[in-house]
Amino acid sequence: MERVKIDLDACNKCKICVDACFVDVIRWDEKQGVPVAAYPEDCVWCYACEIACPVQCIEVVPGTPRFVEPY
Amino acid sequence: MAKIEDLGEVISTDVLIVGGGISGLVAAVKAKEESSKVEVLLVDKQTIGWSGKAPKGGGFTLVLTEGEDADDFVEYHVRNIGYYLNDQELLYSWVTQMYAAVEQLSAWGVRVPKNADGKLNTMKCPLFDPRFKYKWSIAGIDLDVLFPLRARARKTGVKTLNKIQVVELLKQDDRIVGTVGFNLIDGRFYIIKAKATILANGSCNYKAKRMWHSGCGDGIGAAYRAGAEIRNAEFGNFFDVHRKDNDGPAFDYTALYNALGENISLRYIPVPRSDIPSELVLGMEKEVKEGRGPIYFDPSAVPDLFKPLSDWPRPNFHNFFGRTISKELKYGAPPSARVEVSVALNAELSPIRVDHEMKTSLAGLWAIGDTSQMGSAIVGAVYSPPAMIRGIGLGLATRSGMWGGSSAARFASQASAPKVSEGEVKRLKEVIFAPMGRTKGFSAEETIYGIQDVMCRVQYNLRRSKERLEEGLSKIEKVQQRLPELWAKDGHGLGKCHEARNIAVCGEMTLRAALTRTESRGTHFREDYPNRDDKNWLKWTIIREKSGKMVVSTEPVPIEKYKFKP
Ligand SMILES: Cc1cc2nc3c(=O)[nH]c(=O)nc-3n(C[C@H](O)[C@H](O)[C@H](O)COP(=O)(O)OP(=O)(O)OC[C@H]3O[C@@H](n4cnc5c(N)ncnc54)[C@H](O)[C@@H]3O)c2cc1C
Ligand code: SF4
Ligand code: SF4
Repeated sequence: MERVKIDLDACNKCKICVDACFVDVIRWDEKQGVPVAAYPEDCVWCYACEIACPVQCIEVVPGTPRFVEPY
Repeated sequence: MAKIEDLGEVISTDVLIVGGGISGLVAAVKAKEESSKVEVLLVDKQTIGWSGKAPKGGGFTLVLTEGEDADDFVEYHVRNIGYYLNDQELLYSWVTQMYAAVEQLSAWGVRVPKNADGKLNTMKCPLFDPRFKYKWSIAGIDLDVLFPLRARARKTGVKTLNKIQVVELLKQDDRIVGTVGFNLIDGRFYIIKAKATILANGSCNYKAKRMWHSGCGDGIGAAYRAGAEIRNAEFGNFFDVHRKDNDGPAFDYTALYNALGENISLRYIPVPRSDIPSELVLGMEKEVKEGRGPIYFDPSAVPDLFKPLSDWPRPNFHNFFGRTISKELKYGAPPSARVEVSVALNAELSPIRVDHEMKTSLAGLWAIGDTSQMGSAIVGAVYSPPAMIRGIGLGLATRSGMWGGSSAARFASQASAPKVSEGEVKRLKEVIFAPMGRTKGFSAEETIYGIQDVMCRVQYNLRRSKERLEEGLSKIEKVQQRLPELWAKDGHGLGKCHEARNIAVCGEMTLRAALTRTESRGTHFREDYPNRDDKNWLKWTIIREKSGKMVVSTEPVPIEKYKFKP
């Protein structure tokens, strides 16, 4: 499943989401001039990008954390 | 010989701060206040303003208000949390300065709830154990705290660089003279020469809990490899009660029930405590092992503990939690339902040894915030943050940033220009980029999982014994043997390889220190030495690297000069 969905039709290309990610999931695609969820496997659904997007065009789908059974 | 400029981008500064979270930003502002002539460069592997932990969290910090006694706080902490391993003088000066530190944040533009009379709007912490009567207060800090600090820093002339992952420290004899790292986006190599270097790049949380993923111990690993002393690493083993549905914490740990419907919280913590004690985690393990699992958290059984906190005017906090809850409703269980809980590792290893100015044991190197909260010995026999009283992380990060920033600026205004050896830079460059030359081998993920498989398990990291610690260490060594096979295809992947290396070294230091401490104290519990041994163990453990080996020694706590004695 797509974990970080960006609706590029609505996106105003402000790059805020690229800055907002604290674990480097979202990158700026220089060629296309659009944001891209380059490393979705590292998304920890903190929703910072989603909250910060001025046009609210990002939808982050929560995942299931890899959980080491403690006992 | 190649010129250093041929090896990568070379930058020179007076004060270099690695990590632009709350501690790094505060240190930058303070360094400039100390001396406006000092050049300050703040470097982060993500984007300053958004990065690190302060924007993710609970947004409150401990303060003492009128009528709340500092001695009383220190005494509670020393006798019931840090168990006499605290640096009591540092703990006292920290707690007495916290109210003013929050007022200072507010003066710098941080949104802090206040009363009509301009005083901080404080309250007693309502969370964790409603039976516990907190004698101390908390003040609010909104989650956008880093933006006003960044604006303040830039206004005073602090330079910032984003997306640079610092990997190693540069040495000139025994003095630290800067760092090397690389740009996550274009892969360029960076050599940053500095008269004074401050590590502000966080604790190690082993990427075990989602909101703590930025804490990989990068500064701890670099400091250790450069020869800095590491103190009290055995206590970096915070296990939090953990909701299985959303990977979040259960904020009232008195509402935990076993499969028979019995309240187990009260069974294992009959006396109210300020935060989750190890006894509860061990008790949860016992319930499950004896067939009474799984354990449930029942939010409906407790009053809404968050109510007082939600009355604070912190728009970003409310926005953040509002979004989280609406997502849970959309994709998962409603937040009020009975949920299965377990325990999960936060760890919060922060063991770089520092003095009262946040100087490490190496000249030219400071360590602040989440890199050194345990290593400062301020918290004693416990991890930090939260150090069994939550709301200590932001406060320690802020105050240590002030101490460290001023001290480093004073040093830099007197210090000579650093000399960096080309040969050493070349060697470090090869080490840093080695994974890029490989297309297969061992992945960063496999490394991290291998370390988590030891550190996240109660049997190795909480219910400890000589036999199991040695077993855990041999598992970590097996993972470490494969580090020379790490491979990466781009800057992002290379970043994770170095995070993985640091996570491994952090796991090793925790278990080695734990093996050395043959007693139980604070969050360090040894099944083979279940009692506290004040006769032999009023000591700190000290770790240093010697010829590539991790060597543990001990040092007596100067208890005679402290106020509270066993
Ligand atoms: C979910 C959550 C809730 C919390 N709630 C509270 C609370 O209510 N009260 C409280 O007091 N504390 C709380 N804390 C703890 C508190 O947020 C931290 O103690 C504090 O923010 C630490 O600040 P710091 O600047 O020392 O480190 P961090 O915020 O971890 O900042 C470290 C910075 O260094 C950068 N970095 C890391 N490695 C490198 C590298 N190799 N090169 C360059 N840069 C690097 C990171 O990107 C980051 O920006 C919470 C923490 C979390 C995660
Ligand atoms: S939800 Fe958080 S981790 Fe995921 S992409 Fe957005 S900012 Fe990054
Ligand atoms: S924050 Fe929103 S509008 Fe701005 S670039 Fe990202 S997706 Fe587009």
